[in-house]
Amino acid sequence: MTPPRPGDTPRIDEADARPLLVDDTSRDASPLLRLLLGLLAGATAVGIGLVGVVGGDRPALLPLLVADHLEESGVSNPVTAVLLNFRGYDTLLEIAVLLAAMAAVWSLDRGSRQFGRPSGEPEAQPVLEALIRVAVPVALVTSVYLTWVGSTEPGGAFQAGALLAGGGVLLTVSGLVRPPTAASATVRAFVAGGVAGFVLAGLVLLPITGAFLAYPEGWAYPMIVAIEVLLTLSIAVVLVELFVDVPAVPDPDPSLDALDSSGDPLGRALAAAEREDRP
Amino acid sequence: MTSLDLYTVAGALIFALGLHAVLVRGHLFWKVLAINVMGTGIFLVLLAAPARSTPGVADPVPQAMVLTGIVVAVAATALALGVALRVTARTGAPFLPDPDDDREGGG
Repeated sequence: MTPPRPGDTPRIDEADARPLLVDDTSRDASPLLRLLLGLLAGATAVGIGLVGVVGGDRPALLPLLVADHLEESGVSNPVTAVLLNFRGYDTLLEIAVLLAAMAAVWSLDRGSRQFGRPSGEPEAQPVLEALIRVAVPVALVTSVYLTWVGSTEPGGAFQAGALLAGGGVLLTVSGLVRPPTAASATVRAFVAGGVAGFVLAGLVLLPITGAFLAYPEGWAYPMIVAIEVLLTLSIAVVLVELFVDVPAVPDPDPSLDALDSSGDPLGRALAAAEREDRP
Repeated sequence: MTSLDLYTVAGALIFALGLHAVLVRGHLFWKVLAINVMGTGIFLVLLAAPARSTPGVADPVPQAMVLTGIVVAVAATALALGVALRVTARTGAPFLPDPDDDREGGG
C-alpha cells in the first residue's frame, strides 16, 4: 500500500480493506475489563427490564387520540396515519436523514469494485441466479402491494422501499444489473426526489391550508398515496446506492500527479484554473 | 409475567449483549454489528413496553417510530461500514487508530 502524502486523498483499493473481513481479537478488552463491562451490561439489562416490566402504569393518551381522529386522517391504518399525517414532519426529517447518509457515503469514495462474475470465469452462480429468478419478481410485486395497502393494512412506503432495495441489491451484487452510480442523473433524481417531493408538497399546501404539510379536506388520502409512492422509490434507490455504489469519477490520471499534489479531480481542476489565472 | 413482558426483557437482554460487544471488541466490523444488535434490542423494547399500558389497543406512535428507525439504522450501518472500510484501507488494520501510535503523514 503506498503511503499517503500530505494533502492527497487516494482512492482506496478494495484489497487494502480485506482485513476488515478477517476476525482479529488482538485488540479486545482484557479479561478484567471484560468482566467489568459484562457487569455494566447486565446492570443495563436489569434496569431497562425493570422499567419496562414494572414501570408506571399510567394510561397512555396517544393511542386514544389517534383512534379518535383516525377518520379525518384519510387512511384507516393508524400507523400510516401517524407516519404520513399526524407526524408527517417527522417522516420528512427521517427521509432527509437518509439523504444525508447518502451524501456522506458518496463522499467516502470507497473505490472501484467488481460485482458478480469476474471476467474469464467460466462457471456461473446457479444458486444465486435461481434465487434471483424467484425472489426479485416476488419482491417487486410485494413492494407495489405494500405501498398500496398501507392505507388499510400494515404496510407503507418504508416497508415497500426496503423490500424493493433487497431485490435491487440482489440484482446488482450478482452482476446481472450494472450497479447504480452517483454519476447517473437518474439515480441522483431518485435519491433527492423523496425529500424534494415531500417538501414541495408541504410548500404547495402552505398557501392552501395555511400550514406546512396540512392536507386539505378530502385530499388527505390521494396526497398520502402519492407521497408514499414517491417515498418508496426514493428509499429503495437510496438503500441500494448506499451499499452497492461505484465511484462517479474515474480514477485520477497518475501522470498529472507530477504537476500538483491533489489526488482528486476537483482539486486538479482547481489547481489548473489557478495556473491559468496567474499571469 | 405476560408475553409482552417477555419481549421487553428479551429486548433489554439483546441491548445489553450488543452494548457489551461494542465495548469489548476492538475489531471495527464487530463494533458495527454490535451497534446493530443494540438497535434491534431497543426496537423490541419500544414495541413491547408501551403495549402493556394500553391492553387491547395497539399503540401506533412507537410502531411508526420503530418503522422509520429500522430504515434509518440500515442507512447508518451502511455509512459506518463505509467509514470502517476506509479506515481499514488507509491504516491497514481493522481497528481504530491508537492515539499513542506515531502519526503518519496525510489524512
